[in-house]
Amino acid sequence: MALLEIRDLVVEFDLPGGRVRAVDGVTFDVGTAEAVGLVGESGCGKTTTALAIMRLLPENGRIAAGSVLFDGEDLVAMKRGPLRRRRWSDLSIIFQGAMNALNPVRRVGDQVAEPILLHEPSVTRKGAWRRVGELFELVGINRDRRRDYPHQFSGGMRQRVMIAMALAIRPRLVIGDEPTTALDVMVQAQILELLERLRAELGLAMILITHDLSVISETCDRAVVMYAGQVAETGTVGELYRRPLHPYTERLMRSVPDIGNVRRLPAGIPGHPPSLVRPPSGCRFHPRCDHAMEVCRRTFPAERTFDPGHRVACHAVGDDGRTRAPSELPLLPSARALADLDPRREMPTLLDGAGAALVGVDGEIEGITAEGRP
Amino acid sequence: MIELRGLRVAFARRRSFGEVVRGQLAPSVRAVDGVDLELRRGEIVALVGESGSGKTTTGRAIVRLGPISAGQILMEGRDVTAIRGVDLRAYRRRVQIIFQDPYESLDPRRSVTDQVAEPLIVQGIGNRAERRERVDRALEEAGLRPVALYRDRYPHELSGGQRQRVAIASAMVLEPDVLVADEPVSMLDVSLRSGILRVMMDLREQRGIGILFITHDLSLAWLIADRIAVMYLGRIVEVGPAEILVRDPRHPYTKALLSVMPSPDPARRRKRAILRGETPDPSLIPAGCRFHTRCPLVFDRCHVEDPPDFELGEGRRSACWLAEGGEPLPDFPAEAPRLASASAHHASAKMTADAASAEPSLVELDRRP
Ligand SMILES: Nc1ncnc2c1ncn2[C@@H]1O[C@H](COP(=O)(O)OP(=O)(O)OP(=O)(O)O)[C@@H](O)[C@H]1O
Ligand SMILES: Nc1ncnc2c1ncn2[C@@H]1O[C@H](COP(=O)(O)OP(=O)(O)O)[C@@H](O)[C@H]1O
Ligand code: SF4
Ligand code: SF4
Ligand SMILES: [Mg+2]
Ligand SMILES: [Mg+2]
Repeated sequence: MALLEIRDLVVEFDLPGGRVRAVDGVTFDVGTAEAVGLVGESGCGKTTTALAIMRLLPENGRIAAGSVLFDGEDLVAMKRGPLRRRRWSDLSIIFQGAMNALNPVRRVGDQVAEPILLHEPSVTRKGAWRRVGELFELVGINRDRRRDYPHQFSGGMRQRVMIAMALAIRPRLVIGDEPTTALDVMVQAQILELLERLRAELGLAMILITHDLSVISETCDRAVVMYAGQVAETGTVGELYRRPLHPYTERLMRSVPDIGNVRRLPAGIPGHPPSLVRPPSGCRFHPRCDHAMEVCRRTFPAERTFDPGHRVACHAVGDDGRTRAPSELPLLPSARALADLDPRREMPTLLDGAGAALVGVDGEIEGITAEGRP
Repeated sequence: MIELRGLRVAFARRRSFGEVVRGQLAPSVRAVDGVDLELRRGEIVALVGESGSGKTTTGRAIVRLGPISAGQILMEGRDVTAIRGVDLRAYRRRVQIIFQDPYESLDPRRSVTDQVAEPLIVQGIGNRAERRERVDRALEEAGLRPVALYRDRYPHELSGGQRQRVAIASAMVLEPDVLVADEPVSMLDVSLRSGILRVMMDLREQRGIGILFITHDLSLAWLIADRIAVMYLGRIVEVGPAEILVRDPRHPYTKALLSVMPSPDPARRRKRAILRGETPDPSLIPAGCRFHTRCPLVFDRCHVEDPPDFELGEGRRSACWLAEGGEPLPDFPAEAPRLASASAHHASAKMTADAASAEPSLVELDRRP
């Protein structure tokens, strides 16, 4: 049994016009002291997954199905009281842009002490203050600076304060939602190193959320690749780099420059993730996929497991665990348009004959369909 | 085409209470502190550095936004540092800037066409039909094709990448010779970045414009630029052709930056040299070499003498005493992984004062599998 087991998680949000499924059947595990990356483009449901695990969804959101087992106990079914006790003490979260969440008129140290006093009634004010001092040193801030106000700290330091706060009640799992996205590379490296060290020293399990796979390759053991609310592929970072099976993973992998490797503009991914109000039929990636076939448009690909722990949902992957090249597949016209791109420029060009795809140049596909009309 | 000579920009800081009481003057914030840089026609130069290092201030000075305290800006040999009125207007036609945040730089109430036509109207260029034609051409160049699909949209109907393209189109509609692009892709998902970068590379290729590409991401700089200029606390500490600079950095700051660039290949997890602390405050630039408070290779001389730029051939220069002899940099001293030194996180004032006694400012973490 893994520390955290997420099974078929479904999260819905109510909108004035109806309902949107932001997370649709997500399954993955996180073991003790394991670091798992959750990766995908903006809007693909990473934050929502994290909030659902924490049971911190906004008012209009709810877990519609699935379970989140922490140490064998289902957090989804848990009552509010016991749940509140687990939050921060068993699992905690560092939010996206959290450094701006500190209260500007309160001393930083008091803000970190608050959850300690709240969760551990036996701890005195003095004891909490001492613990804050230890936490500050743990995250590399001098304990003398507990009395400072947030504006006296840089962005990187404020982010470290948020990490200290997330660790205040000694959780066993921490979720970092883009904890370094707004920060400089050097500060990012400092924070990633800090998280890594905490993992090694405290046996902390971690879920790291980002749109940048290279950050995950640097810090995590395994990655879960999400697209449009679903899991496209899961595997170790090594496997996903050497042998990505899902075309989306492969594209994501090729989106980041790698100093010292070939100096070529990455292909990127044409188009952008779909609106989840009316997601594409079948495989949700099919409008942007250069491997897409008729079957992709009709049916959602079942998830299959290849090497232990390497799971993928894609019709182009054969039973032998190999992804067929576009040339081996009966492509949809839209996929052919993408596959025929001038490889040097790697930019879709507009084709507007019958049956061809209508593709906005470079990047922005405008609702292509197999019929070729937007 | 554009040349910066000893450019300086200082901002007056408001005096703190203590300074007022003691009757002291507020130290000025030396955001740009003596920058020499050249941008040629058809060239992409990347300006790289941490937050607060002065990249934006430099970029703004080039387009003559914001103050200039000292030094010169030359365009095609002509001094444009102090031009005004008609001359400045003509200059701005040739030198354009795009900003980091595609959400803030566009007016939510105006359509794409109106937005992009604005600079033409301000400059009084063309009649309605001509303007329309130029707007369409700019949108096309920025990759918003087919133009008919985007022309009449409003910003909220565009994705982040598309908005950044509109921003590019607004800058390109005047057909400038120089473009300053301030972190044009930082706010975008990695999957969308290539498209924008491709547009810039095409503009350079087809129109021969010179681009100053501002970024804090050295790997992006390496990808797109012909030359890279690395900035630290208001000064360019190293400059050179992108490939060479990345292969053989001659300034310890460049070397440290390189070591922390994440790679998608987990097998290449490298030995990271993580500098402690953050860029010190530009109102308190350390004496001697400005990098000495964080430099893993610091030695006695660095505390007292500010290194000049050393020319290294192949268009390279470095402002480090170790570059004086023209040899490659030595390896950073190895250290056991350990806690961040608390002193590095003190206020920069303290950092400067403590510099001599400061703990080593580097932690190396061997992450090779
Ligand atoms: N409160 C809400 N009400 C309605 N829809 C929502 C709400 N929160 C999120 N969504 C939708 O759920 C989907 C997933 O959102 P989420 O914020 O989890 O994405 P993400 O992967 O974290 O993206 P980003 O990187 O931009 O934060 C999106 O389509 C989003 O518009
Ligand atoms: N208008 C201003 N008034 C005072 N200080 C400023 C102003 N603009 C920039 N600075 C200071 O100048 C330094 C460099 O800023 P900036 O050019 O924005 O750096 P970067 O773009 O590299 O983040 C920073 O310390 C910043 O606070
Ligand atoms: S090949 Fe089909 S199933 Fe696989 S990612 Fe592409 S569209 Fe989806
Ligand atoms: S001059 Fe000295 S302190 Fe400055 S970068 Fe070179 S070695 Fe480091
Ligand atoms: Mg998010
Ligand atoms: Mg800036």
